Order: sequence, then C-alpha cells, then structure tokens
Amino acid sequence: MQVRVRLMGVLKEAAGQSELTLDVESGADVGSVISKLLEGRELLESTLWDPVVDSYTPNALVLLNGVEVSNLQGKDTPVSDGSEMVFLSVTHGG
Amino acid sequence: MSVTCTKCKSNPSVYYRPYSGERLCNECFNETLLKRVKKTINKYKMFEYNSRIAIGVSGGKDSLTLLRLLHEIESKRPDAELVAVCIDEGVTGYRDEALRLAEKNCRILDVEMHVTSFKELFNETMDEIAARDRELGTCSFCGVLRRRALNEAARQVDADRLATGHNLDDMAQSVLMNILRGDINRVEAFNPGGRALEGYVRRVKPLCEVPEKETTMYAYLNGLEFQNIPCPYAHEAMRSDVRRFLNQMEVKRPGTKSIVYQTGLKIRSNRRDGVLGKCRICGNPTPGEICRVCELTGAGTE
Repeated sequence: MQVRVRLMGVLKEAAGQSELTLDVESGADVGSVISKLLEGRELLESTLWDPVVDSYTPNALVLLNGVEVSNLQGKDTPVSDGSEMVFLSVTHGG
Repeated sequence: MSVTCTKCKSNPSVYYRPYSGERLCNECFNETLLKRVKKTINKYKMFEYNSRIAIGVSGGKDSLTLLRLLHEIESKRPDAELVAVCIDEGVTGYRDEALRLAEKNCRILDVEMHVTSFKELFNETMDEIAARDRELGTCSFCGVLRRRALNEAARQVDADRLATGHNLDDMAQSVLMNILRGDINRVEAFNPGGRALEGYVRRVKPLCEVPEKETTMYAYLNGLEFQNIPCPYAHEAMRSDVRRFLNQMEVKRPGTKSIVYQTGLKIRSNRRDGVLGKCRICGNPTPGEICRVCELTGAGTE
C-alpha cells in the first residue's frame, strides 16, 4: 500500500524534497513508515531522530491525516492505503 | 480515529497536550492558545489600550504566529496600532525568503511593514561579519546586533512597544544557559514583560508561555507559510546543547520547560532593574562604559 509524506520546515531541506510517496507493507504503522522514510536519508535522519530518547518527538510534530499522532497511538498508530503523513519541524534555527 | 475534544466535547481532537492531558480540536486549540497569550499580556501589563506595537517579524513560524495572534487581539482595540519590523541581516539566500514571507503575511493582514538592515545600521552585512575574525560565534554576534537593530527599527516607526516571538522553549533555554554560564545578573534580569529604559523601546514577549510545538501547530493549522531554509550560520553550540537537553527532558518528564521558566521568574522576583548608564560612544543604555554593540563593531576605535 502507499502512504503520502509531506515534509515542512528544515525537514524539507534535509530531505531535499517536500513530498514523496512510500510503498509500505499492509499492516504498517507510523513507526514503520518513519523507518522506511529514513532509509538512505542520513541528513533527514540526523535532523529528525533523537538517539537519546530514540524518537522523533523532540524535533518534530507528525500528523496522520490531520491528527497529531501522539493524540492517537503514537508510533504504533496503524496507517492505511492512501494515508497522508505530515512532518513539521519544530526547531527553526534562525 | 481520534477521541473527542476534552474541551468542547463535540469535535474530534487533533492535538494532545502531554503536560495538561488535554486533547483538543482545531477550534479549541486556537482558542486556548489565544486565551493563554491574552492572559500573558495582561499578567505582565505588556500593552496600553493605545500602544503602537512594533512586531519583530522574521518569517519564521514563531513571529508569524505572533503577528496573527496580536492582529486578532489588537484589532478589537480601535486605538492600538501594529507595525511589522523586519531586519535584513544580509545573509544571502536565507533572509530573502524570510522577507518575502513576512511581506506576504503582512499583506494578508493589512499590517504596515518596515525593513531595516545591518548594512544600513552597522555598515556590514552578516555575510561580511561571518567572513572575518570575531570574538564571538556568528549566532551570538548576530543576536547582539539584531536586538539593537530591532530597537532602532521600533524607534524609527515611533512604536512604544516591541513584541518578539520568543516562545516558552526559548525562555527556558535562556534561563538554563545563564545558570550554566554563572551569569546571575542575566538570570535576575529575566523579564518577559520587559521594562522601560531611556533610549529603548520596551520589549515584550507575548508567546513566552507557549511551547514551541504549539506555535508550530498553530502555524500549520492556520495555513501560515513559514520559512523552510535554516540560517547557514545557526550553530550556537551552547544553545543547541541546552535545547537538545530540554527537549529530551520534556519527553521524559512533560512540563520540564515550564518549570525551568517559572524558576527563572522566581529568581528574578528577588531583585529588579539594576541601574544602567549610557554608552559613551552611541549613548544607548549599558551596564558598562561601552555597550556590547560598540564593542563588537569596533565603533569609536577608528
């Protein structure tokens, strides 16, 4: 199935693109979409991921179909075909 | 499927506040943010009914959120006036996009916009400063000059208040940085409501109790187009370390940033308003003989 991803703020710059579509396996959740998104994107990973708390939460807000995912089930929230995830950078840097 | 908003109890919620346990719909999120900013303005008596308020607009999410919220609040006061002041630091590529976004948002709200530049005020762009030997890192240098430039811009538009988009995260970082540096004078001078000083427009921070995540969410929910490009000189090592630490603590212990901020206010309450003299070169307020701007720019040494 496919999930549409939009990146905003410095995350867009780190990824080098503002929108992309990811192919993910049926039954995927927010965490697995993020893992897929970060594959081969080292700059995006270092911008988004905090290794100390092992999470994106210090650096970004992640919305699934318009709802911030910590208001759902966090990284365990299931996604479905055609879902849209938006990544909003929290830190601006200037 | 998200749960129902804990405030209006009818719309589906879109945002969870870990420090309060609230789950809010779009409308209640906007409403509670507006209410908190109004409460902060009243608590610190930031504005008069007829204040002419210069808003420092950088094109980032915080300053654009501030512009939108103050427009909503102050448009209900017929004698209050808003004017956006923007500083062109002279950072190629970075500031061009910021000024375009500031202009776009001001045009939408029909707010007057005034631009002044480092080149005009200090005879150097940030690109030129970054290229030469300096006592301070680029961020610290830029911060000192930008504070002065914002004050000059506010004076140029005859404002009696200067509002900046510093949020709760910025405030908590400043408190902790000053403690880590052992700079007790700055900890004691911590004051989001600002103070009146001769030669200085009173500087206020209406977003000082709004977490950065919430200014981000507000900008997104309200369709504000904000800057994507990071400043090429934005590498202030100590602030980055403190920001990272506070962000990690906030994940582990929600409410940490607010506690640090409140602690800064408690320390401040024990001592207020030291006496400032005037810089012997430019005449601006300073605790020493020469102000920081004249020290950094080498004014008066030619």
